[in-house]
Amino acid sequence: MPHPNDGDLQAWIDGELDGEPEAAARIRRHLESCAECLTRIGDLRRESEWFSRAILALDDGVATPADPGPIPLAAVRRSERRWWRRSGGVLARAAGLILVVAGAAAAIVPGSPVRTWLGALMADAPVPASVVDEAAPRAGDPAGAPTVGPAVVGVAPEDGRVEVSLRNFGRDSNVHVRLTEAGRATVRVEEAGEGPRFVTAPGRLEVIGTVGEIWVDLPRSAREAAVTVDGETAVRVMEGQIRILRPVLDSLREDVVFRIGD
Amino acid sequence: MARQRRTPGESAFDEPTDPERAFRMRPEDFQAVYRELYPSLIRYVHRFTGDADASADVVQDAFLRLLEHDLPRDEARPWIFVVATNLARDGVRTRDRRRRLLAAGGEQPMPVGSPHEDLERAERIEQVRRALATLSDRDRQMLLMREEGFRYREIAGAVGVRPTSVGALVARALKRFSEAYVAPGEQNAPPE
Repeated sequence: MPHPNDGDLQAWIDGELDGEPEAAARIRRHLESCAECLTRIGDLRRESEWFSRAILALDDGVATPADPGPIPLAAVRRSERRWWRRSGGVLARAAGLILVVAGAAAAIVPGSPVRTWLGALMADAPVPASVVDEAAPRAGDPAGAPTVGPAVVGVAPEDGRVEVSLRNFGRDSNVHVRLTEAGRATVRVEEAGEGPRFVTAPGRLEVIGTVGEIWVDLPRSAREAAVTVDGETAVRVMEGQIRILRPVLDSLREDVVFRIGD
Repeated sequence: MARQRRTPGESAFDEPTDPERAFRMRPEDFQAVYRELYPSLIRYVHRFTGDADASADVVQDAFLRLLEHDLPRDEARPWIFVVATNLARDGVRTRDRRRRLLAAGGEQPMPVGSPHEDLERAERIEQVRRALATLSDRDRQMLLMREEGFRYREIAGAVGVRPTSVGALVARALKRFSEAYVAPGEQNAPPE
């Protein structure tokens, strides 16, 4: 048999001839009787090991964790928005517009079932007394005075910064955080019992609760935004990029969710 | 989405552009693929670029593109390595241009690495980088993909050669690297 070339020998070393038993056997037989090729095999193996060893030096400074954690949320969100714009957005928005126009047209016809249904709905609807949205402490309120009762409160960034501070929530409380295009941070709490207390100050919103489900919207436009839990930073947003510093329950929904006690 | 610049041989992994196919990978599948591929991909890109920050950006962008494509898991791995390689190449070109501009303006780019970096380690890294730079982009990609456990047919698909040619190209590239690389404190490469 003529000497196998370097490519065949390299493929043999790399186990690439395992699927070709005849070719592999041919090389093996040749190596049994050819000192020259045996030497060449040794050279190829040394060069291969030399490369593998040398290349390890480049791994300094890069973390290759066995578990990289959840997918970077900002990337997923960008992708979702791109997908929405590209594939379904136009059709869905067109369908929504048609429904709104048709509904409005039906509602203005006196005696129409839609008009009757809307009237009944509005008569029965409770007044949303628990929903308050304010950008700063109300005039006349002393700064930092707690507001008891409202379930939704907003605060605008101060000098590009806004902080939402959650205090005294039970360990089982879930916090849902998302970035929005709104110009302010808002917090909505669904809580059994008397409801949370909110303390607002310029660029800062403190929520004192017991146990509940908490939704925090942070403004993407803020230079810096943060959510703290009992004084510790749990979420940080810088220049539109969100970082979750707590174990995440779910990052593939509209919002990212973590538990207070985790 | 802007298409990546590609060499002719990379057409085997060309990205599908049909919007109907976009974003079909289920989130739980994507999460599993992410966890599986991330360590290997970040190591590969870092070895390819030598820039930890740029590598993280490249890897994130590559996964973002994967998210938008409907690929079986076994195809996702070589595909994302090719996409990351292209992104890394484009990034390297941008950084090279920036360095040239800085040099032309009389400014020096910031040195890479911390001031406390061990001298011998830094020298070793520099030697490896210099030896890698003697290889073509294609050969560098082949050797680094091989280090990540890719089979010859996957490497062939990524760089656009026949699978039967990979052995010879790998052997030649390894030889060239060995001749170019002399580790600090060692006389000959590779050691006998």
